[in-house]
Amino acid sequence: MARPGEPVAVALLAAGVRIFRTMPHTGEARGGYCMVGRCTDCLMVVDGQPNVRTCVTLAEPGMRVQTQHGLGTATWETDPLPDPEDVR
Amino acid sequence: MTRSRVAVVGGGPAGLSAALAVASAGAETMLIDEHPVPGGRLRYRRTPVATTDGTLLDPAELIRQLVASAEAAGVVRWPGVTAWALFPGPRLALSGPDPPVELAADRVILATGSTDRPYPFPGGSLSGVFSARAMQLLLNHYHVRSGRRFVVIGDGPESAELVADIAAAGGKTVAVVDGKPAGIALAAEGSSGVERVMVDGVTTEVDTVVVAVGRQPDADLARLAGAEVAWRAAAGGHIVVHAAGGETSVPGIFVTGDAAGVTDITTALSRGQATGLAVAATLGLIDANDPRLVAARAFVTDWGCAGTEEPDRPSPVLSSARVEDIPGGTQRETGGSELLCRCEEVSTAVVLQAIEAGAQSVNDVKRRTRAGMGACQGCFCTSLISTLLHRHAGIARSEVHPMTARPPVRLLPLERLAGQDSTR
Repeated sequence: MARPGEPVAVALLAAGVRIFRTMPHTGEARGGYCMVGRCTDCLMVVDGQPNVRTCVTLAEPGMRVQTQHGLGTATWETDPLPDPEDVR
Repeated sequence: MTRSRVAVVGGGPAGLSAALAVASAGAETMLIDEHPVPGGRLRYRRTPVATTDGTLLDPAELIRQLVASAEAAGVVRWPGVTAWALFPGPRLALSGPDPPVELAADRVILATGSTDRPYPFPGGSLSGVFSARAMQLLLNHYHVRSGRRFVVIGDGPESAELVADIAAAGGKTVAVVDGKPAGIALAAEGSSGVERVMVDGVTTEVDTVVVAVGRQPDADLARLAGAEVAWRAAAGGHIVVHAAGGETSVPGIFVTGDAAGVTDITTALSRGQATGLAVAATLGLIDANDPRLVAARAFVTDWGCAGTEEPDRPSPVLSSARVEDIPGGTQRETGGSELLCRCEEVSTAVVLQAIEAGAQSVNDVKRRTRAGMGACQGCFCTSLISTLLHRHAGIARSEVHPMTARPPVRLLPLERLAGQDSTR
C-alpha cells in the first residue's frame, strides 16, 4: 500500500521489497541506490513498460509493477503480462 | 515591449532564491523542477537552516516561505517537469505533464544542485547500499526506514547528520567508517542484499550501508550547452567555470547553488539570490550598482572565476575523504573487482586495464570499456575515471575533462520526443 505522493520504489522498500531489477551483464540483483532518478538501480517494468525509474514515479492505484530482468522488454496491451508480482 | 523571460532550472534553495530575486525585479520567471514537490535538499534535511538574515528556520518552513514569496512575486512554477537539454539561445528542452517541448528564454539559471559522490567498494552495488541523500530522503521526507542495522561510510557534517537521522528513525548505526579508503579494507556481502560488512578484518552483521563521502556539482545541462568546465577539488570535482554573478562562458546561461560548487544551504540561498539579482542587472531591470546586488555578492563563494587558483578554504560539506583519494586503497586488496560504473557493470580493474592500454581521456575509457555509457551518463563514475587517469596516466587535472555531454540528460521514452506521448 503506497501513501499519496510516494514513489513506487519507496512503497516497495516500505513493504520490505529490496530487489527491483537484475542486471543484464552479471545478473546481479539491485535495489535502490540514489533515490533521485539518476543511478537507474530502481528500474522496473511498470504497467508493461520497462526502464521506469520507480524512485521518481509516483505509485498509483492499480499499477502493476514487476522486477525488471536485464534491459527489459516492453509488452503491450494485447500481450499478457508474464509472472506479475503484485504490490499489495 | 515584452518582458524579459528567465527560466530557472531546479527548485532547491538556490533556485527558489534566484527565481524570487529575478521575478521581484520584474522578469517573467519560470521555475522548472523535475520533482513534484519543491525544496530540493530542503525536503529531506531536518537541521534548522540559517537564512540570509541569520534567522534559523525549520527546512519545511523555509520551503513554504520561499515558495510563497516566489509565487507572490509572480514566479510560475512547473513542478514535475524535466529539463533534458539546454542549447545556446538559450533554449531548454522540457518533458513533463503540460509544458511546450522547447522553451526559449532570455536567461537560463541552472540551480540543478549536486549528486552524491561515488565510493566503489566490493559489494557496493548490492541492494541495501544507499547514497546519503537517498537515505535522508527515505528517512526524513518519505518517513520510511529501510533497514535496521546501518554502517555509514564517511565522516564530516553530513555524515553526523545522517547518523542522527537514522537514530531518530529508530535505526542503529553500528559503525561509521571514515571515507579515507587508503588502508581500509571494506567489503559488503550478502546473497540477495547486504547481510554483513567487513571493515579492517572485523565482520559485522548489518542490512544497510550508507555512502556519505560528500557531494559533487551536477551541471550537465551547462556542459551540454558548451560551457567551459574546470577541476576544483574543494568544490567537489568538475565545475562549470563562472564569474561572481554566476555567468558561464555561454551567453545567457548562469549557474548557481551547488551546481556552481558544493556548499552549504545558507550559502546556496545567498548565491541564488545574488545570481537572480545579477541576471536582473544584465537585463537592465536593476542597476549594476544596486545596493541589494552589491550586498548579495558579498556572500558569494567563488569557486570558478576564470584564472583563479583552487580556493584554499575547505568546503564545509565535503567529508575528509578527498576527491583524489577515491577510488582508493580497497582496490589494492580486492584486485579492483568492485564496480566503478554501476550502470554498465564495469569494474575498476577493467578501467585500469584500459588506461594501461593507452586510454588518455574519459571519452576514451568510455569507448573502450562502456563505463559512462549507461543511463546515468557518467554521473556516478566520471570523477572516479578522472581520478584514475590523473593518478595512473599522469595526466594533469586541468587536462582531464568529463565525457562529452549529449542530450537527453535524463532517460526519456522516445514517444515524448516524437510528441506522441501515450504513456502519461
